Amino acid sequence: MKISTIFKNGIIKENPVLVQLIGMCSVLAITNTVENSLAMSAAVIAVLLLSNIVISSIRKLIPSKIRIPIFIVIIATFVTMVEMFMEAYAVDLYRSLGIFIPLIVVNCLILARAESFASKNGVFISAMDGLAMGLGYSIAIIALGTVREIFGSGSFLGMSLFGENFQAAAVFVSPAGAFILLGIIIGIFNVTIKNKATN
Amino acid sequence: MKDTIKLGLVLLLVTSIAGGILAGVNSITSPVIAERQRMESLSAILELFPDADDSVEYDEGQIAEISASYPSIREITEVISDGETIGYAITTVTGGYGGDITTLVGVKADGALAGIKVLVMSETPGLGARIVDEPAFAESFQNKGAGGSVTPSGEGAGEDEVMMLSGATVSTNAVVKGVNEALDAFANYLSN
Repeated sequence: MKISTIFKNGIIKENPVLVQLIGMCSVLAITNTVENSLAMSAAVIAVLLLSNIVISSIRKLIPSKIRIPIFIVIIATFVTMVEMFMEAYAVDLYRSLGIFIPLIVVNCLILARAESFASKNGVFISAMDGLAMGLGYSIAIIALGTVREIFGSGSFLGMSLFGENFQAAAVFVSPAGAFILLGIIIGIFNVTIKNKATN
Repeated sequence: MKDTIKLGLVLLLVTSIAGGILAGVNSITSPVIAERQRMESLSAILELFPDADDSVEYDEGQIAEISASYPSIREITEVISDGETIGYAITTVTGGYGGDITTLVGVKADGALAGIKVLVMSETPGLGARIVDEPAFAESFQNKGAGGSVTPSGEGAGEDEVMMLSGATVSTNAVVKGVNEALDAFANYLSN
Protein backbone atom coordinates (compact mmCIF):
# COMPACT_ATOMS: atom_id res chain seq x y z
CA MET A 1 0.00 0.00 0.00
CA LYS A 2 1.32 3.40 -0.97
CA ILE A 3 2.02 5.90 1.76
CA SER A 4 0.20 8.65 -0.13
CA THR A 5 -2.94 6.46 -0.18
CA ILE A 6 -2.67 5.94 3.58
CA PHE A 7 -2.49 9.67 4.21
CA LYS A 8 -5.30 10.39 1.78
CA ASN A 9 -7.43 7.80 3.60
CA GLY A 10 -6.64 9.10 7.05
CA ILE A 11 -7.14 12.78 6.29
CA ILE A 12 -9.87 12.77 3.63
CA LYS A 13 -11.55 9.56 2.53
CA GLU A 14 -11.79 7.92 5.96
CA ASN A 15 -11.32 10.94 8.20
CA PRO A 16 -12.11 9.56 11.68
CA VAL A 17 -14.16 12.58 12.79
CA LEU A 18 -15.71 13.88 9.57
CA VAL A 19 -16.38 10.62 7.73
CA GLN A 20 -16.27 7.72 10.19
CA LEU A 21 -17.81 9.82 12.99
CA ILE A 22 -16.02 7.92 15.74
CA GLY A 23 -14.75 9.15 19.08
CA MET A 24 -17.41 11.87 19.13
CA CYS A 25 -17.68 12.18 22.92
CA SER A 26 -14.32 13.79 23.48
CA VAL A 27 -14.52 15.71 20.17
CA LEU A 28 -17.66 17.50 21.27
CA ALA A 29 -16.44 18.07 24.80
CA ILE A 30 -12.90 19.37 24.42
CA THR A 31 -13.03 21.44 21.22
CA ASN A 32 -14.22 24.57 23.06
CA THR A 33 -10.82 26.22 22.62
CA VAL A 34 -7.99 25.89 20.10
CA GLU A 35 -5.52 25.20 22.89
CA ASN A 36 -7.54 22.22 24.17
CA SER A 37 -7.89 20.92 20.61
CA LEU A 38 -4.12 21.13 20.06
CA ALA A 39 -3.38 19.34 23.32
CA MET A 40 -5.93 16.61 22.60
CA SER A 41 -4.51 16.22 19.09
CA ALA A 42 -1.00 15.74 20.46
CA ALA A 43 -2.20 13.19 23.01
CA VAL A 44 -4.24 11.22 20.46
CA ILE A 45 -1.45 11.23 17.83
CA ALA A 46 1.07 10.03 20.44
CA VAL A 47 -1.18 7.20 21.64
CA LEU A 48 -2.26 6.19 18.13
CA LEU A 49 1.28 6.15 16.77
CA LEU A 50 2.78 4.22 19.70
CA SER A 51 -0.05 1.69 19.99
CA ASN A 52 -0.02 1.04 16.23
CA ILE A 53 3.76 0.49 16.30
CA VAL A 54 3.67 -1.89 19.27
CA ILE A 55 0.61 -3.82 18.12
CA SER A 56 1.92 -4.30 14.59
CA SER A 57 5.32 -5.43 15.85
CA ILE A 58 3.86 -8.14 18.09
CA ARG A 59 0.88 -8.97 15.86
CA LYS A 60 2.15 -12.48 15.07
CA LEU A 61 2.59 -13.34 18.75
CA ILE A 62 -0.90 -12.29 19.84
CA PRO A 63 -3.39 -15.19 20.03
CA SER A 64 -6.40 -14.04 18.03
CA LYS A 65 -8.90 -15.11 20.71
CA ILE A 66 -7.60 -12.58 23.23
CA ARG A 67 -6.42 -9.90 20.84
CA ILE A 68 -8.97 -7.30 21.95
CA PRO A 69 -8.02 -7.39 25.66
CA ILE A 70 -4.36 -7.25 24.68
CA PHE A 71 -4.97 -4.23 22.41
CA ILE A 72 -6.83 -2.48 25.21
CA VAL A 73 -4.04 -3.16 27.71
CA ILE A 74 -1.46 -1.75 25.29
CA ILE A 75 -3.59 1.33 24.51
CA ALA A 76 -4.38 1.90 28.20
CA THR A 77 -0.67 1.70 29.04
CA PHE A 78 0.20 4.44 26.56
CA VAL A 79 -2.73 6.61 27.61
CA THR A 80 -1.72 6.31 31.26
CA MET A 81 1.86 7.22 30.36
CA VAL A 82 0.67 10.30 28.46
CA GLU A 83 -1.54 11.22 31.41
CA MET A 84 1.27 10.89 33.94
CA PHE A 85 3.71 12.92 31.84
CA MET A 86 1.08 15.61 31.30
CA GLU A 87 0.31 15.82 35.00
CA ALA A 88 4.01 16.16 35.78
CA TYR A 89 5.14 18.54 33.06
CA ALA A 90 2.06 20.23 31.55
CA VAL A 91 -0.30 20.79 34.45
CA ASP A 92 -2.46 23.47 32.85
CA LEU A 93 -3.27 21.26 29.88
CA TYR A 94 -3.79 18.30 32.20
CA ARG A 95 -6.35 20.37 34.13
CA SER A 96 -8.18 21.71 31.12
CA LEU A 97 -8.55 18.29 29.48
CA GLY A 98 -9.42 16.61 32.79
CA ILE A 99 -11.29 13.34 32.46
CA PHE A 100 -10.91 13.25 28.66
CA ILE A 101 -7.28 12.14 28.78
CA PRO A 102 -7.99 8.78 30.46
CA LEU A 103 -11.03 8.46 28.18
CA ILE A 104 -8.70 8.25 25.15
CA VAL A 105 -8.50 4.56 26.13
CA VAL A 106 -12.09 4.03 25.05
CA ASN A 107 -11.81 6.23 21.96
CA CYS A 108 -12.89 3.74 19.32
CA LEU A 109 -10.63 5.41 16.76
CA ILE A 110 -7.57 3.88 18.42
CA LEU A 111 -8.99 0.40 18.92
CA ALA A 112 -10.39 0.49 15.38
CA ARG A 113 -6.94 1.20 13.88
CA ALA A 114 -5.39 -1.53 16.03
CA GLU A 115 -8.00 -4.09 14.97
CA SER A 116 -8.43 -3.18 11.31
CA PHE A 117 -4.94 -2.03 10.38
CA ALA A 118 -2.05 -2.54 12.81
CA SER A 119 -2.92 -6.19 13.49
CA LYS A 120 -2.68 -6.97 9.78
CA ASN A 121 0.18 -4.79 8.51
CA GLY A 122 3.88 -4.18 9.03
CA VAL A 123 5.40 -1.83 11.57
CA PHE A 124 6.35 1.05 9.27
CA ILE A 125 3.11 1.13 7.35
CA SER A 126 1.11 0.90 10.62
CA ALA A 127 3.06 3.82 12.04
CA MET A 128 2.19 5.82 8.93
CA ASP A 129 -1.46 4.83 9.33
CA GLY A 130 -1.43 5.97 12.95
CA LEU A 131 0.08 9.29 11.92
CA ALA A 132 -2.37 9.76 9.04
CA MET A 133 -5.45 8.96 11.14
CA GLY A 134 -4.10 11.12 13.95
CA LEU A 135 -3.62 14.01 11.53
CA GLY A 136 -7.12 13.58 10.14
CA TYR A 137 -8.47 13.67 13.71
CA SER A 138 -6.36 16.71 14.56
CA ILE A 139 -7.33 18.74 11.49
CA ALA A 140 -11.01 18.14 12.21
CA ILE A 141 -10.90 19.01 15.92
CA ILE A 142 -8.63 22.03 15.40
CA ALA A 143 -11.09 23.34 12.80
CA LEU A 144 -13.94 22.82 15.29
CA GLY A 145 -11.93 24.39 18.10
CA THR A 146 -11.04 27.43 15.99
CA VAL A 147 -14.62 28.21 14.99
CA ARG A 148 -15.97 27.50 18.48
CA GLU A 149 -13.41 29.70 20.19
CA ILE A 150 -13.82 32.59 17.72
CA PHE A 151 -17.62 32.65 17.91
CA GLY A 152 -18.09 31.39 21.45
CA SER A 153 -15.39 33.33 23.26
CA GLY A 154 -14.29 35.94 20.69
CA SER A 155 -10.69 34.84 20.95
CA PHE A 156 -8.09 32.68 19.22
CA LEU A 157 -5.58 30.72 21.30
CA GLY A 158 -6.66 32.87 24.25
CA MET A 159 -5.97 36.20 22.49
CA SER A 160 -9.01 38.44 22.35
CA LEU A 161 -9.94 39.29 18.76
CA PHE A 162 -12.80 41.73 18.74
CA GLY A 163 -12.41 43.93 21.79
CA GLU A 164 -14.88 44.30 24.62
CA ASN A 165 -18.04 45.04 22.67
CA PHE A 166 -18.12 41.60 21.08
CA GLN A 167 -21.25 39.65 21.96
CA ALA A 168 -20.16 36.02 22.20
CA ALA A 169 -22.55 33.28 21.08
CA ALA A 170 -22.46 31.14 24.19
CA VAL A 171 -24.05 28.16 22.41
CA PHE A 172 -20.74 27.47 20.66
CA VAL A 173 -19.03 26.88 24.00
CA SER A 174 -21.46 24.12 24.93
CA PRO A 175 -21.41 20.62 23.40
CA ALA A 176 -24.78 21.38 21.77
CA GLY A 177 -23.14 24.12 19.69
CA ALA A 178 -20.34 21.72 18.87
CA PHE A 179 -22.91 19.28 17.48
CA ILE A 180 -24.49 21.89 15.22
CA LEU A 181 -21.12 23.12 14.04
CA LEU A 182 -19.85 19.58 13.45
CA GLY A 183 -22.83 18.97 11.16
CA ILE A 184 -22.10 22.13 9.19
CA ILE A 185 -18.40 21.30 8.88
CA ILE A 186 -19.17 17.75 7.72
CA GLY A 187 -21.55 19.19 5.12
CA ILE A 188 -18.98 21.63 3.79
CA PHE A 189 -16.31 18.93 3.86
CA ASN A 190 -18.54 16.53 1.90
CA VAL A 191 -19.48 18.91 -0.93
CA THR A 192 -16.01 20.36 -1.34
CA ILE A 193 -12.98 18.29 -0.44
CA LYS A 194 -14.33 14.77 -0.08
CA ASN A 195 -16.43 14.54 -3.23
CA LYS A 196 -13.64 15.97 -5.34
CA ALA A 197 -11.16 13.53 -3.84
CA THR A 198 -13.36 10.46 -4.37
CA ASN A 199 -14.44 11.24 -7.92
CA MET B 1 -8.39 -26.48 28.88
CA LYS B 2 -4.72 -26.34 27.99
CA ASP B 3 -5.53 -23.64 25.48
CA THR B 4 -7.36 -21.57 28.07
CA ILE B 5 -4.39 -21.70 30.44
CA LYS B 6 -2.06 -20.66 27.64
CA LEU B 7 -4.27 -17.67 26.76
CA GLY B 8 -4.41 -16.69 30.41
CA LEU B 9 -0.64 -16.82 30.67
CA VAL B 10 -0.18 -14.69 27.54
CA LEU B 11 -2.56 -12.08 28.95
CA LEU B 12 -0.77 -12.24 32.30
CA LEU B 13 2.55 -11.64 30.54
CA VAL B 14 1.23 -8.66 28.59
CA THR B 15 -0.38 -7.04 31.64
CA SER B 16 2.77 -7.64 33.74
CA ILE B 17 4.95 -5.90 31.14
CA ALA B 18 2.45 -3.04 30.93
CA GLY B 19 2.36 -2.78 34.74
CA GLY B 20 6.15 -2.78 34.92
CA ILE B 21 6.47 0.00 32.34
CA LEU B 22 3.84 2.11 34.11
CA ALA B 23 5.58 1.59 37.47
CA GLY B 24 8.78 2.86 35.85
CA VAL B 25 7.12 5.95 34.39
CA ASN B 26 5.30 6.58 37.67
CA SER B 27 8.57 6.55 39.61
CA ILE B 28 9.81 9.35 37.32
CA THR B 29 6.67 11.49 37.34
CA SER B 30 5.26 11.01 40.86
CA PRO B 31 8.04 12.94 42.70
CA VAL B 32 7.57 15.84 40.25
CA ILE B 33 3.81 15.77 40.79
CA ALA B 34 4.11 15.46 44.60
CA GLU B 35 6.58 18.35 44.79
CA ARG B 36 4.32 20.57 42.70
CA GLN B 37 1.28 19.70 44.81
CA ARG B 38 3.21 20.50 48.00
CA MET B 39 4.21 23.93 46.64
CA GLU B 40 0.62 24.56 45.59
CA SER B 41 -0.81 23.64 48.97
CA LEU B 42 1.72 25.93 50.72
CA SER B 43 0.79 28.86 48.53
CA ALA B 44 -2.87 27.95 48.96
CA ILE B 45 -2.50 28.19 52.75
CA LEU B 46 -1.16 31.70 52.29
CA GLU B 47 -4.14 32.56 50.10
CA LEU B 48 -6.55 31.44 52.82
CA PHE B 49 -4.57 32.96 55.69
CA PRO B 50 -2.68 35.99 54.34
CA ASP B 51 -1.39 36.84 57.84
CA ALA B 52 0.26 33.44 58.38
CA ASP B 53 3.93 33.54 59.22
CA ASP B 54 4.47 30.01 60.48
CA SER B 55 2.83 26.61 60.23
CA VAL B 56 3.03 23.25 61.97
CA GLU B 57 2.07 20.09 60.12
CA TYR B 58 0.41 17.31 62.08
CA ASP B 59 2.29 14.02 61.91
CA GLU B 60 0.83 10.77 60.57
CA GLY B 61 -0.09 9.41 64.00
CA GLN B 62 -2.21 12.44 64.84
CA ILE B 63 -3.84 12.40 61.40
CA ALA B 64 -4.62 8.68 61.72
CA GLU B 65 -6.40 9.30 65.02
CA ILE B 66 -8.57 12.05 63.53
CA SER B 67 -9.20 10.38 60.18
CA ALA B 68 -10.51 7.30 62.00
CA SER B 69 -13.65 9.38 62.67
CA TYR B 70 -13.34 11.69 59.64
CA PRO B 71 -12.10 9.55 56.72
CA SER B 72 -11.92 12.46 54.25
CA ILE B 73 -9.18 14.22 56.20
CA ARG B 74 -5.65 13.65 54.92
CA GLU B 75 -3.53 16.51 56.21
CA ILE B 76 -3.83 19.12 58.92
CA THR B 77 -1.62 22.17 59.19
CA GLU B 78 -1.83 24.51 62.13
CA VAL B 79 -1.51 28.08 60.89
CA ILE B 80 0.30 30.51 63.18
CA SER B 81 0.65 34.27 63.15
CA ASP B 82 2.67 36.20 65.77
CA GLY B 83 2.97 33.07 67.90
CA GLU B 84 -0.79 32.52 68.08
CA THR B 85 -2.84 29.86 66.32
CA ILE B 86 -5.08 31.69 63.87
CA GLY B 87 -6.60 28.60 62.31
CA TYR B 88 -6.12 25.27 60.64
CA ALA B 89 -5.65 24.32 56.99
CA ILE B 90 -7.24 20.91 56.54
CA THR B 91 -6.79 18.90 53.35
CA THR B 92 -9.75 16.67 52.55
CA VAL B 93 -10.24 14.15 49.78
CA THR B 94 -13.81 13.28 48.74
CA GLY B 95 -15.27 11.38 45.80
CA GLY B 96 -16.55 13.64 43.02
CA TYR B 97 -18.12 12.83 39.69
CA GLY B 98 -14.89 12.28 37.77
CA GLY B 99 -12.66 10.99 40.57
CA ASP B 100 -11.35 12.31 43.85
CA ILE B 101 -11.54 15.99 44.72
CA THR B 102 -8.85 17.37 47.01
CA THR B 103 -9.94 20.49 48.86
CA LEU B 104 -7.98 22.65 51.23
CA VAL B 105 -10.31 23.91 53.96
CA GLY B 106 -9.22 26.87 56.06
CA VAL B 107 -10.92 26.93 59.47
CA LYS B 108 -10.33 30.02 61.58
CA ALA B 109 -9.74 29.80 65.32
CA ASP B 110 -13.30 31.02 65.92
CA GLY B 111 -14.74 28.07 63.97
CA ALA B 112 -15.81 29.91 60.81
CA LEU B 113 -14.24 29.18 57.44
CA ALA B 114 -11.36 31.36 56.29
CA GLY B 115 -12.10 29.99 52.84
CA ILE B 116 -11.61 26.91 50.70
CA LYS B 117 -9.50 26.06 47.70
CA VAL B 118 -9.95 23.02 45.47
CA LEU B 119 -6.44 21.73 44.80
CA VAL B 120 -6.95 18.66 42.64
CA MET B 121 -10.01 17.55 40.68
CA SER B 122 -10.94 15.94 37.40
CA GLU B 123 -14.58 16.98 37.09
CA THR B 124 -16.37 17.55 33.78
CA PRO B 125 -15.19 20.74 32.07
CA GLY B 126 -17.97 23.34 32.01
CA LEU B 127 -20.03 21.54 34.67
CA GLY B 128 -18.33 20.10 37.74
CA ALA B 129 -15.07 21.89 36.93
CA ARG B 130 -16.80 25.13 37.88
CA ILE B 131 -15.87 24.31 41.51
CA VAL B 132 -12.51 25.71 40.37
CA ASP B 133 -13.42 27.87 37.37
CA GLU B 134 -16.08 29.92 39.14
CA PRO B 135 -14.37 32.01 41.82
CA ALA B 136 -17.78 32.82 43.33
CA PHE B 137 -18.15 29.18 44.40
CA ALA B 138 -15.11 29.17 46.68
CA GLU B 139 -15.88 32.73 47.81
CA SER B 140 -19.33 31.66 48.98
CA PHE B 141 -17.64 29.57 51.73
CA GLN B 142 -15.82 32.51 53.29
CA ASN B 143 -16.80 33.24 56.91
CA LYS B 144 -19.56 30.61 56.79
CA GLY B 145 -19.77 27.52 58.96
CA ALA B 146 -19.57 29.15 62.40
CA GLY B 147 -22.66 27.08 63.27
CA GLY B 148 -20.71 23.85 62.73
CA SER B 149 -21.63 22.98 59.15
CA VAL B 150 -22.56 24.48 55.78
CA THR B 151 -25.42 23.59 53.42
CA PRO B 152 -25.42 24.13 49.65
CA SER B 153 -28.40 26.19 48.59
CA GLY B 154 -29.01 28.54 45.65
CA GLU B 155 -26.54 31.40 45.54
CA GLY B 156 -25.42 30.61 49.08
CA ALA B 157 -26.52 33.94 50.49
CA GLY B 158 -28.04 32.75 53.75
CA GLU B 159 -26.29 32.02 57.01
CA ASP B 160 -24.05 28.96 56.73
CA GLU B 161 -25.27 28.44 53.16
CA VAL B 162 -22.87 28.04 50.26
CA MET B 163 -23.41 28.23 46.51
CA MET B 164 -25.07 25.23 44.83
CA LEU B 165 -23.72 24.88 41.31
CA SER B 166 -26.61 23.83 39.09
CA GLY B 167 -25.70 20.88 36.88
CA ALA B 168 -22.89 19.99 39.26
CA THR B 169 -24.68 18.58 42.28
CA VAL B 170 -22.26 15.70 42.80
CA SER B 171 -19.20 17.97 42.62
CA THR B 172 -20.74 20.57 44.93
CA ASN B 173 -21.76 17.94 47.47
CA ALA B 174 -18.30 16.36 47.39
CA VAL B 175 -16.66 19.66 48.28
CA VAL B 176 -19.28 20.40 50.94
CA LYS B 177 -18.80 16.93 52.48
CA GLY B 178 -15.07 17.56 52.90
CA VAL B 179 -15.71 21.02 54.33
CA ASN B 180 -18.21 19.72 56.86
CA GLU B 181 -15.89 16.93 58.00
CA ALA B 182 -13.16 19.52 58.47
CA LEU B 183 -15.53 21.71 60.51
CA ASP B 184 -16.56 18.70 62.64
CA ALA B 185 -12.97 17.68 63.21
CA PHE B 186 -12.13 21.23 64.22
CA ALA B 187 -15.00 21.37 66.70
CA ASN B 188 -14.31 17.97 68.25
CA TYR B 189 -10.52 17.69 68.17
CA LEU B 190 -8.66 20.81 67.18
CA SER B 191 -10.40 23.61 69.05
CA ASN B 192 -9.64 22.11 72.47
